[in-house]
Amino acid sequence: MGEGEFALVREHLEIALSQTASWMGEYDIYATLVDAAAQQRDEAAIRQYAPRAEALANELGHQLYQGVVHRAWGVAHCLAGEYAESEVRLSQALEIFGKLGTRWQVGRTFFELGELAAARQQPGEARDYFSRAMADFDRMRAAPDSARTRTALEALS
Amino acid sequence: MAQLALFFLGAPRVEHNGQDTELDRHKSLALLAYLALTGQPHRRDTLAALLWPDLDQRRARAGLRRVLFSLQDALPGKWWEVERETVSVQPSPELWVDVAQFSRLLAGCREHHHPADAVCPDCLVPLTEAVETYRGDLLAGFTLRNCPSFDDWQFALSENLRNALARALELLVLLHSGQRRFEPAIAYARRWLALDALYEPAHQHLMRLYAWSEQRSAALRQYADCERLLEAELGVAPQAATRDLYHAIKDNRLPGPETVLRARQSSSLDIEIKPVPAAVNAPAAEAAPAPRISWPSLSRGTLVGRENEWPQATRLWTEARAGEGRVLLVSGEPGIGKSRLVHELADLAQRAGGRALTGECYTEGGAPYSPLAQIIRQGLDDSQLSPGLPAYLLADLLLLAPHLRPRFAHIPSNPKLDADFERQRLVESFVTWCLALAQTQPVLMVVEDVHWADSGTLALLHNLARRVRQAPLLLVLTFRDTEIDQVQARGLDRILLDLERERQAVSLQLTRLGRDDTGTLLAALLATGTVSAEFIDSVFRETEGNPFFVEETCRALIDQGRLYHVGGMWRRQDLAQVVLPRSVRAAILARVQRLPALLQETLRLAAVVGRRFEFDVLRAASPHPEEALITALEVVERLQLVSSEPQAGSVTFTFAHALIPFALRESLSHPRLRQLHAQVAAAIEAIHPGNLDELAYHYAAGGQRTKAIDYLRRAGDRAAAVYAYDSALQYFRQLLGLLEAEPADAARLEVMEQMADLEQWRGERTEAIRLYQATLDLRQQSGGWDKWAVVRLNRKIGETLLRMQKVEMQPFQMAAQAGLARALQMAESEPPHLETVRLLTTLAKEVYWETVLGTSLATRTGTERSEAADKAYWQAVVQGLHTKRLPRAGAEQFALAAIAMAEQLDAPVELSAALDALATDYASRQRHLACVELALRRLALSRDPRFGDYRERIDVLCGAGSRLAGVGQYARALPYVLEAESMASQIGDISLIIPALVTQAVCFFGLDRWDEMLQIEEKRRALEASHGSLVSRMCFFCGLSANVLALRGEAELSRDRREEAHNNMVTRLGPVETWPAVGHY
Repeated sequence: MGEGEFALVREHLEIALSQTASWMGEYDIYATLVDAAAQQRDEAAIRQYAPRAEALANELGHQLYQGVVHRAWGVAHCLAGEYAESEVRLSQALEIFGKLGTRWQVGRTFFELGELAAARQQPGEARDYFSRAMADFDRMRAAPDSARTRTALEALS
Repeated sequence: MAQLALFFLGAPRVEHNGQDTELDRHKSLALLAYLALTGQPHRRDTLAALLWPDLDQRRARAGLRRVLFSLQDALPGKWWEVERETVSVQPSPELWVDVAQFSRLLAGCREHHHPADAVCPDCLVPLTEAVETYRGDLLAGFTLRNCPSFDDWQFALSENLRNALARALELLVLLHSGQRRFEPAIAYARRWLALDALYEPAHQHLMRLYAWSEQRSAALRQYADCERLLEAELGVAPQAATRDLYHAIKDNRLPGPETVLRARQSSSLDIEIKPVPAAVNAPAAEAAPAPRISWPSLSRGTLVGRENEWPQATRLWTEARAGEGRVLLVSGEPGIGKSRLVHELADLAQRAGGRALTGECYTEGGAPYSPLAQIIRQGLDDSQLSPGLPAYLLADLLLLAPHLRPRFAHIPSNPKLDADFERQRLVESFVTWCLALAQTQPVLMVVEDVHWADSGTLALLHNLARRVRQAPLLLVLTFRDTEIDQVQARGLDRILLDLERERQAVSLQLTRLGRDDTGTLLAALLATGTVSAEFIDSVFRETEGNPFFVEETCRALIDQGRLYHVGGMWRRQDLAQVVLPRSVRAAILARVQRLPALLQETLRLAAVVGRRFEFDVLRAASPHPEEALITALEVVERLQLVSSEPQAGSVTFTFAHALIPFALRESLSHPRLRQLHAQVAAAIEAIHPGNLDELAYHYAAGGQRTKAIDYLRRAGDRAAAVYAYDSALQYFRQLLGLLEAEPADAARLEVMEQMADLEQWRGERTEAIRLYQATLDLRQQSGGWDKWAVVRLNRKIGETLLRMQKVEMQPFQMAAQAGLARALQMAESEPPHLETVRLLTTLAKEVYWETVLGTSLATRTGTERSEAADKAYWQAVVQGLHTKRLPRAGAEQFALAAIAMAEQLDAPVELSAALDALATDYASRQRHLACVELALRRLALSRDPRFGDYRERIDVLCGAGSRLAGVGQYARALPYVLEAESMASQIGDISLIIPALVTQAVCFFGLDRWDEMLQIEEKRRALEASHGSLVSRMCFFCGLSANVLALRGEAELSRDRREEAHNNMVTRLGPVETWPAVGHY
């Protein structure tokens, strides 16, 4: 997702949030916003939306969104250099997605763990996480994610 | 000087200043072609709708602006005339268009002082240039996706140009042949044949040319090719003319080119000049008395003078047969030959291996869907019940054709579901059956005289017309355009406008015959080689070329002995002694009035029965003995006034034309007509007591009030039961007319409420509210104060209001709310009652929607006294409610009260509806977990054996799945929606299959099961293909599949789907800025 596209997503979802008597779940909108912000690696946006998204997902027991919010927090902490907090959050996300069996979400979380390891200057671990992410993406035939992960792996060598 | 050359014949090419110019957009070329070839200014809105039919006006105009800009950029110069509202291409000497050049060259030949379709030596050069200009078909290889109007325009113009080319090639063949230049003639003939390999005249020319150029074996091979192609493609043998030619060549009897071509070069090219036998129709030497010959017959039913219409009709059949279904509308005044044309077409279709099914509508009406019942009977008669078709579909067909029920007793009736749904499914079942039938064998389906069709039949035909495109089916509807303004035909008028707007149909308007064609028809009727000019002139002058009138005039003359057949020849009296009838009615009556009294009486009685009449009914209605009636019918059948058709256990007669019984009825005095209707009604009642529609019609026309009231009510109820709401309303209106003569009683109030229900079901909500209100008023005036009836009527008004659009509801909202409040006041002092539960549920929904739509009472600024009074009253009631036993007026409180009372009454269906009303309110307030609980509770209720509504059970399953998926419990939701889909498929309910699929798609997407999600999308697309408008606007599916495709890296396909989703949203919800939250999400 490009920067402009993220702005467009935010614009539309903010409008949706502002409407009263909506048939839409507010939690859907926040989860979408926080996930888009994480993909965009926009720490400020993650920190803006994640608290509300987390509260709503917990209130409903919405496991998929709980996982999404944990991963987004993991990205935000990593971007801020808070590596330990990041690892905790990403591990929680991985655990949830693993239970749900959502392979693409697992792959994306491995990818973020790889990014975290790379930021920590742990190339061996990073390679391992990226490889696991790659396996999941390949199995899902998620071509753009596979390409992105391949690039990340090549950057390590 | 700048030059622009546009080549549209063949693959399109644009040459600007001698250089090939590429246009960057597909639509640029389409717009350029449309503007250049139509040669006139077009409104921007028209062009936008032509090229961007799926977009709203604003976006479509923006698209047009972009394309215009791009065109002007690519082709700068004076070519464009771009105004604020219109756009055109400027004519200029520097602008050259190949299509215009082609047309100019052909037009040049028409200035050579010979008929338009004849040829002279000066035609050679322009014709040769014209066919060379024609490089290929118009815009060959170019199509514009999803632009049906542009497609239609391109197709029609392309066909015209091909036809013009065919004519030019034929003329060139004649020219070269006449000058014995056989080599170029053969080359042009081959090119002509390549345009349509099944066109026999082209084969004939080529055969002659080979024979004349001493290639006799090639000529015989050509015949063999022709025979093989016709057999393979149409399943027919070559025409007699082709076979004769073959034998002439084989036996070396072919005349030289000069003999054959002379006539054609000096006269019309389209009419073969045949040897004419000696004239036999001269005046008789002795004027009178003419010898009378027993029963001279006319060779009726010859198709004459339809040289333009017939090829169009056969082309449509050929296309339909090849799998491109078509709709043909044949119109014209009475007697113009509509039936003849479609009968010929039906014969052709059957000879070519197709199945012809025909239904007829009658002026005297009949049971709802009766023309379709005829078609279903024929379809089921000559085909096995398809094992692939679901039982519910066949049960629906039997609902349309109840007389077939005894034959198919093993097929169970469908369970009773809600009326709207069943009506929709009935339409779907009929259409699906027709399309399935066509897949087994191409079908020509004819419905005659649809200006008399009932609304249910029209609705089904309209749906079929929209869906035939992908099936080998030609639907032909005939109607009188002279009666289209009549009240009875207004439904048809609306459908014709729709079909025209949607470009679904081809129209053939039959006009009267010219003088020469009248002569041809007379020759055919009299089975003679020629008819004298004087006789033709006389008949043409009086009949003005109406074929039926021509036939009836001949018949009248024969019956009067003015025209007679003797010694194998026709003779007539001197024209000075012959008085021709002045109208078709007069011609018919002149014939009848010459018959013995018994025959006249029998015919008039039969005419009162209808165009088709059963012998048994006639016998029971007639005072004459059976033997006398049989003899009378034998005579009128030989006179070709009626024809008989034996059916199981009885004989049915049909008048030769609908105008005959019409003229006969018109000739009767009112008291006599009334008397005969009463006789007929009594006869039908004795023989067919179940023919409610006929009994209602004849008893009403016969002035038998009590019987008429009884049968009108029963016929109305039965029409309503098969969802023929318009027919039911017609019966009830008539019934109300009879009941209004007396003080309001329970029967009258009941009919009014039934009519209001019918109006509500057919979507006429304003009229429904008016009728409910009138019923309420009448109840109060008559003093019969049934409390629950008042509550029920007010509740129905409220429910009707909830189904209305916001703008539509405003004039009624205040009064309806006041009515609901009044009903609530009446109900609250009563013990718990189901009607109170329904009222509270309605109130919950009403208050909810009022909140959502922002039209609360506080925001209203009505200034009229009555509105102000209502407002004050309503506010007082709401205030009052706060202090009384019922909870205060909020959606949640009303729903909770409804739930409590339904529980107390142990009414599961009402309880489920009340729970749903509460869930709707909770969802809007983000109380999603509570919604899940309510959905699961409804689910438990739906397992109760008393919960009889099958469709409601599916809805409950969908609701449970949807609510669970909403809180992320995808795996738990899936079984519910899979079960819902399976149940909905069993009854063919698309409106429930789709929500089940939506939730499945959400679940699969949430669980990262992308392949299954994409399979759902494929399923949805298949439904869209088979059910059109019912599922075509599922933007949500497109959006989800766009996401998956993007994640799979299929960027282009994903973008297409995303655009499709966006466009669907715009179509559905309007411009982006007006979207609700769901749209932005």
